[in-house]
Amino acid sequence: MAALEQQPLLTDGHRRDGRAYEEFRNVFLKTGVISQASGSAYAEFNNTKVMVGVYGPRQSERKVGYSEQGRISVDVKLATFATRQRGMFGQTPEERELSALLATALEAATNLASFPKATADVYVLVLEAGGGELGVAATAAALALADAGIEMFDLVTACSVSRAEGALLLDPTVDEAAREEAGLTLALMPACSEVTQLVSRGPWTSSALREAMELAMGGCAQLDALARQVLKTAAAEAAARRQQEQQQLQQAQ
Amino acid sequence: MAAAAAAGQVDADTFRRLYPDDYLRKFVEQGLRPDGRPLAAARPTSIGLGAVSTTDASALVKVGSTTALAGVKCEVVPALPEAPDAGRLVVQVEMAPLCSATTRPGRPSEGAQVLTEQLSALLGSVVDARQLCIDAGKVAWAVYVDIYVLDADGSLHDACLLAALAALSSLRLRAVSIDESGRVQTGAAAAAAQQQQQGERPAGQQERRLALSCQPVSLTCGLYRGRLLADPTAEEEPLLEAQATATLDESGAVLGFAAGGTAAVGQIVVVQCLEAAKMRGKEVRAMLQQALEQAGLAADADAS
Amino acid sequence: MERTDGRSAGQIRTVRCERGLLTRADGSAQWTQGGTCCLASVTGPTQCYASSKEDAERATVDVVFRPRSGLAGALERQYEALIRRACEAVIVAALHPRALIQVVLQVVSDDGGVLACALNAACAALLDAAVPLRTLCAAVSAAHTEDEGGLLLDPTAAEEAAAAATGTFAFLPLLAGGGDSKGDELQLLSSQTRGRLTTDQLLDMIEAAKQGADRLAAFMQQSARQAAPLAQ
Repeated sequence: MAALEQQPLLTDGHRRDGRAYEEFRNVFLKTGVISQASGSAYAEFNNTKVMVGVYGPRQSERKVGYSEQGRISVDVKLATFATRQRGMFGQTPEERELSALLATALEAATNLASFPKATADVYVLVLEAGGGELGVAATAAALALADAGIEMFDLVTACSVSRAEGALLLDPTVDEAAREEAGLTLALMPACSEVTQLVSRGPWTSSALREAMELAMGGCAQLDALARQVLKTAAAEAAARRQQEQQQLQQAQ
Repeated sequence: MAAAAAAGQVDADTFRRLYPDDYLRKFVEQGLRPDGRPLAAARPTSIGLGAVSTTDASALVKVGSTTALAGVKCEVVPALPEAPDAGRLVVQVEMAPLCSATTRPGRPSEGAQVLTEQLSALLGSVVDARQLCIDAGKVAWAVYVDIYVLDADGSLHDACLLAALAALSSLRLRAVSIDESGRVQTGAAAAAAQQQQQGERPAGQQERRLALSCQPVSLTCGLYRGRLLADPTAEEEPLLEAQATATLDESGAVLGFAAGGTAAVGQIVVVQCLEAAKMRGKEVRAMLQQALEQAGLAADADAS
Repeated sequence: MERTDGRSAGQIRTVRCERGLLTRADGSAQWTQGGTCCLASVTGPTQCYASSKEDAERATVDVVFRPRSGLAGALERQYEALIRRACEAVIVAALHPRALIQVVLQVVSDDGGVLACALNAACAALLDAAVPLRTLCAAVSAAHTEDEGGLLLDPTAAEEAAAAATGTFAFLPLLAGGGDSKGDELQLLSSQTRGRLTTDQLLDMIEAAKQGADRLAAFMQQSARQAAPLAQ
């Protein structure tokens, strides 16, 4: 029996997990999952599970200094059991890179002028890394910022595309990404049709790159519809809950 | 009182933030908590097993809003010279920066270190390290239990301990095979290798569960104006005069009793706390058994 | 029950308290119980070094626990948390808003019951520094052994290692009893146990520790009076 690593990724127009080339994994998004945070979101794309908590806007640390614009500070952490090899507790260079990329993806979409001198702290914890963590984290972080009531110009959704075995695959898993010839991750503001972040790996011809970007932007538009629905449902539930609490207090009085 | 007069004009949320003590007192006087439960009741608890597929066992526990996720990873390591017939159980609790407004990224906070120490001592006494030995003096299992607090809404010790217990109860140590050259293989490769070795002495071990000497469950209680509140939330904790965490096993033996606070308590309170912990233990163990059975990981399922 | 050093089961080792050993600190005390010795130094009320730790309404208490050898780890953090809560219960913090009271504990020798010894040393040092206190706090450690079901107060390191369960308990012994029933006079401030105990064994342990704490508090009061006799 050939080892799993040598088997082909694509057979008869289908990927190893049965998806078409342009199909997302099963997407689950939910906001308001952390009671202590100003805003929070949980995103699960099959085996990639990311939880984001947003605190703020709150006072910036003194050493950062005065600024007329608000700041977004992002901290990404992978749980020690998120990857196949057990990770360490300190922050690794990959995590620092992810934090910086995520910050760029989110800053363009947030109205930073609405909270001068303050910082919105975005804490991301990757519970399971099954591929495309940057994309999933960006989508979840944007949802969390919206859940926190921070003014945003638009939502940000992100996804990855890999070129492997001659085909363009949307939302690759960790196995597919490991065998890719080239890949890119794109973060988009769907309503404005503006790209806030583009990370590309490997060699691309300009036509292939254009095709991959269009595929990714289409994917982001799909995610956007789902994300908006999730936010609407959460807002309706929060209003109902607040009304119930008011009634309880009046009864106690 | 000015607070009562002003209460008519402010809404519930504002009153709660401005006068947290008055807010809580109004409820406790009626024998209720702000979230509607009776004084001695714990919050609704749920246990979800196998949440993370990259782990060997995992459990997500929610006690009200407090959420803890425990992930267990096992590695084959060389045996330590000072303990040749034992493996290692390493427990670590991390309060993720997203769990509360006061935690920050970087070095582990004091709360996380205290929890790590308490749970290490407790689980170290529940899991006998000698069962983790594979080949005495050569290789053994190192079991890493990492518990992440995802939402710190009070009574963290209870949620973390339950998550660790659920994860360890559902853990299966993979099959191990050791060939003549000393190469160790685990999992499916080991099962295949063991079939080949049927003629010779089979070296290694089958897949097996971890044996826990008991099932410890804890309950944190707080004293507020002379009344005992079970399972306080993060909002109630700063208002309590004293707090106690009692850890009991299924026979009612006390595995840990940690109390602290600004007021001294009497014997009646200590007894009440232990009684409440005993009741809670029964209810939680039943829940855990149900979760294990649903996941097909209960002890009885192994016999078939 | 025969113990190796000839004590009875409920007997605490010889206690010794020396004050004012350190000239740079506002208060200091060295507390010795048999072979266990802890040195505590108190600085404060003084300015908080980090404004984030400052509390506008009361003093902040900061405790540092240094083991005899090696670096402070998670166990030391646990001790610090327990000692800090006990000190906060005893100090009248509202008298010094925005201030910091720092207690530094150094283990000089460890022969069992080091947490109780450190707590007692901290309390004595707070007295020496003239920090306003509500009452005195006394801590006792106890162990429960399997053979003969014996309960030992103030165990040595060897007795702790051989015990089935150990515990450290802090009380406020000088607060007036006043309770109607006998049970209310327990005045247990904080506790920490390790190992297996039945409920009755735990309650017996706390009861016995309380009696030990009463004796310790009497000793503390006496030594305080000797150090600062009232002006006639």
